[in-house]
Amino acid sequence: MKYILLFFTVLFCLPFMSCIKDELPNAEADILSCSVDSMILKKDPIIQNERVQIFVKSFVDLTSQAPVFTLSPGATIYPQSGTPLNFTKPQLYIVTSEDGQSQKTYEVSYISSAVGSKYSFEHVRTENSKYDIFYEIDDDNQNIMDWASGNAGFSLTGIASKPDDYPTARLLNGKEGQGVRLVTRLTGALGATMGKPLAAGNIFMGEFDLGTSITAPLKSLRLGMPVDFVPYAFRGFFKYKAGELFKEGNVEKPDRKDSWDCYAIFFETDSTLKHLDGTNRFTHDNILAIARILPEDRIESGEWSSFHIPFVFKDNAIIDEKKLKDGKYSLTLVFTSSIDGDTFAGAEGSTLLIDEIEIIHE
Amino acid sequence: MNKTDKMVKLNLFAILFLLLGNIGNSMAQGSVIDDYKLHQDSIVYQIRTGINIGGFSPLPFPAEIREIKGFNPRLNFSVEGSATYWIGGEKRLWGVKAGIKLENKGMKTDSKVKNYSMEILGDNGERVAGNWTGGVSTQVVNSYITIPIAVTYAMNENWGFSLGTFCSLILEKDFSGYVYDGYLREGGPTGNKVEFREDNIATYDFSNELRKFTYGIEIGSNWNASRHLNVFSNLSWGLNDVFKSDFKTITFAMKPIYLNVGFGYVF
Repeated sequence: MKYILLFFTVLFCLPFMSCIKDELPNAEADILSCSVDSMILKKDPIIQNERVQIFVKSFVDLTSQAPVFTLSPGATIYPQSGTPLNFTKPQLYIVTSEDGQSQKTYEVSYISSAVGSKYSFEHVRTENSKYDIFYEIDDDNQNIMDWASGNAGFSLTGIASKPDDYPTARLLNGKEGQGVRLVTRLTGALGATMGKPLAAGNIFMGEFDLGTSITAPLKSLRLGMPVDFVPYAFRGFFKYKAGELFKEGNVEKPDRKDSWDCYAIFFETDSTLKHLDGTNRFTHDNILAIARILPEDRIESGEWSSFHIPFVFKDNAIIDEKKLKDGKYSLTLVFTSSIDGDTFAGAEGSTLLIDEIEIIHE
Repeated sequence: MNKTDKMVKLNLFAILFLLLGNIGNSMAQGSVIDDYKLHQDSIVYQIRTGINIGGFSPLPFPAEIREIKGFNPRLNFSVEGSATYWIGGEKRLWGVKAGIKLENKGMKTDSKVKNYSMEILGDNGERVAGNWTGGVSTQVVNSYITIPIAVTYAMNENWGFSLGTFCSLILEKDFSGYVYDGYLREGGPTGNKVEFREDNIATYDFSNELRKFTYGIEIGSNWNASRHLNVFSNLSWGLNDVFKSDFKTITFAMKPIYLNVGFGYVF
């Protein structure tokens, strides 16, 4: 019987094997990497799906810069890679795929202004008409930093139909003007099949790497942006309401109550550490100071309540002024509506509202 | 397969055998009217059991399919009862055959696709569309009740051929699988990119999107070992997409192509 089956399998498969058609030209139109003189860089460029941000030192002349890009196989870019352009304003590049069927416009910006220390969350755009992205601007109204969140990952669950359905969204009535609303949400059938049944609302200073968010969720949090100040305290306003039923993955834990979390970490970058991630954010040797809300202060509050957290410096922490000027020190702020959201534990509906956050520095 | 499905299947087999039993009875009873007898003699009853080997496949293969890494036809059984009315009295050259068949059609494939447009639907109406590049594993386990109708031609004592059509009603359905080791681009080839590696898979189940009725053509041959026993092979080719017409996830039509081989017993 086995041999008969094998015989017919081969017989049946033969015509199909020979039917594999020639490979079509590539349909992708990505900027895969961006290189500029490393002497002028403060941090590695952030390359998102339609945006490249190049963080350079403050002395750099932006009127003539020629970034070099690598693209999807066979794709072309206009203006050409390596063309000197004036980057005092962002430049648009159009990438066309090898098959000519798809095009993508990238906004490429050189950012020499360091990120400020007061965050009011008044600047929001809706990305791909799907979810909200908060950003900071400089004195010229140029975007100098996107706040990162896991929204791009939540988009893949197919649950959300409008920006308000996402774990991280704008809050129209904040403490002053707009604020941020973080809500822990279930990820539905598709999230569950990927082993990620829950998504905590989060917002952080850094980059969310969607590409690796399923394979290595903790590593996909790239924490930190260069700053030109040394922080000593972290303060702001919040409201919090824990969700009803706590779950660890899919397991209900009625005896546990959800809690929010916020922390700020000040650290030094070098050739081996470009950013912190979910695996080393509290433990890495390059960390200089941490400010994290105490467990007893992670309370529920229906009114705007303030928090004030001092940075605790390591005993051996030394600040080098030159490094500070060159953007070698980075800072991250992290807020989440479920403290164990990284491991997919929390209560659906836990809601953290934040606004008027400030880093106090010398 | 759940218990109810199993019961349904058993019951249908029971009905089929009862039907065949009755045919035997009516034959044994003989007839009183000559004319009736003549017709009766021209009708030949047969049961066949066999296996189905084949697959559900788009033809030709779309260019998005880059490689078939594995194919397992599974062991699919069939049992069929049929009646053939032979035209032309004693000569029995041409005939018309109708039957009823219970059969499984299944397969398991493992393929690699590039830039394959798809849409995944969750149980609660979640909807994610995108282009997948990477591995796709698919399993199909369907069972059908099929009515084949064919013109038969007896070339000589030993060899016979048939050409006909069939229509099938699906009884049990499973069209499911998972994607693995690759990446999804949300919305299209330029959308956000997310990778799946090693243990990360996304499962899918399109069973409920399968069409109830399928039809097609079939061509067959048989070799008579004796007056009662024969071996047969029958190639059936589905003509309509196995999926409902409003199902957009798989962008090309999938059609069942199966070779049915086995033994027949003529009464």
